[in-house]
Amino acid sequence: MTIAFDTRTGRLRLDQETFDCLVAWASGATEPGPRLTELRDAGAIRNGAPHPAVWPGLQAVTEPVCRLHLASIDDDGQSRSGDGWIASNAAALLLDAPDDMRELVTVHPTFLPMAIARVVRLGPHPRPGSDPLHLPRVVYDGLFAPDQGVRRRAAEQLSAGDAGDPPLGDVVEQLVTGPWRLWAVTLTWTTPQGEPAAQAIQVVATDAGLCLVDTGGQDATMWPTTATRVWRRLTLLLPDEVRAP
Amino acid sequence: MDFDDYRHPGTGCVVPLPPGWQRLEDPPPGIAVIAREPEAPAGFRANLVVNVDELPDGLGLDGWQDESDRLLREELPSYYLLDREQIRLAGRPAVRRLAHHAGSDTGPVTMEQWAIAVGSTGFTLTASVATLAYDSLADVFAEIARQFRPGPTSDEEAAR
Repeated sequence: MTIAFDTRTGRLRLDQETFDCLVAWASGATEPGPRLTELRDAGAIRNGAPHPAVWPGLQAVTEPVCRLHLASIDDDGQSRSGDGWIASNAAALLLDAPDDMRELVTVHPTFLPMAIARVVRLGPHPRPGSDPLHLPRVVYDGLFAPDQGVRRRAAEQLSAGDAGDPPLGDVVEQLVTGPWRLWAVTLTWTTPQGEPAAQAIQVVATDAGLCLVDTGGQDATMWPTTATRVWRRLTLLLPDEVRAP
Repeated sequence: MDFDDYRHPGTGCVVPLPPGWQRLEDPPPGIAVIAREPEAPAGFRANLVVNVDELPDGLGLDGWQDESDRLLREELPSYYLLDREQIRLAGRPAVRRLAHHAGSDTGPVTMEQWAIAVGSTGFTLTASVATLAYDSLADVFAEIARQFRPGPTSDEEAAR
């Protein structure tokens, strides 16, 4: 395990245990763990304090206004996740990196939509149509199974009815053959009134287009969408407590 | 929203401007109009810019816009293309793009662009806004683009 710290960008690559040690130390723990020496050697800690490029992010981790969770899975079953802590002046993202490492990225909260867009690779896609696809949850689960045969059988179930071709046929075919990526971002926080609050977005990206995915009920719905509409949703994710502190 | 139409005397293009937005007088050559919102609640003042370019011989809408993609990547810091589509605007083929860039003096900016080629003249309408304020102006920008009218072609001028 090698810690890598880029003083120019503030990106810090480390494993989860070292990150936990860094956070414990930043929170004032007297025995934060054995990894502090490596963090000092990498330059993430200097003169007894976190490097200025890391410090705002660490403060967000220790005193967040809002928590973020990001998860994605590809058609080959490869999953990736990220955690985030957002305060009024900084947001820290801890993202999965190769070799069981994680990467800590600190940005201003106004950059959070762009940071998410880069992670999920939001970009131009064909327009997939206009009608939503409502489907039973069991069929939905089959469409996103890691096994292509399971996905094919789920797609065949969709078209087996006598109601004609279902909407989003090209997207469904892409779900069977790949490539696709299903990703979700959830923000949670507590309102000034003490109530729990959340914002979430779930999107599937295929070469045939993008869909917003709603799995809130017993059934699932895939709503055809565009990168522009997804971007609008991302710019609205942050709670007012962070937008206007 | 009711817009105040501005007709550029040089090109004849008509740009609907939101009421109260400030139009800059005497913009630089190649720019028909610059207008910006009077206040900037998010720090960056949302603005509209209409560029008018003479297209090189043989360069159609797609070639022109591929070149624009390259220039935007080179010139705007942290440029990231979010969306691009072929549409029709003012009865003509057009390209619409959505992108993000960020500079030390601007912060994160969302930029929406519509480009139309009229003969050998290219019109580009660019709307920019602080990223967290994009949703509040996205529909306004789309309506401005819908009502935007490029200048007449030389053939249309000759027919008058």
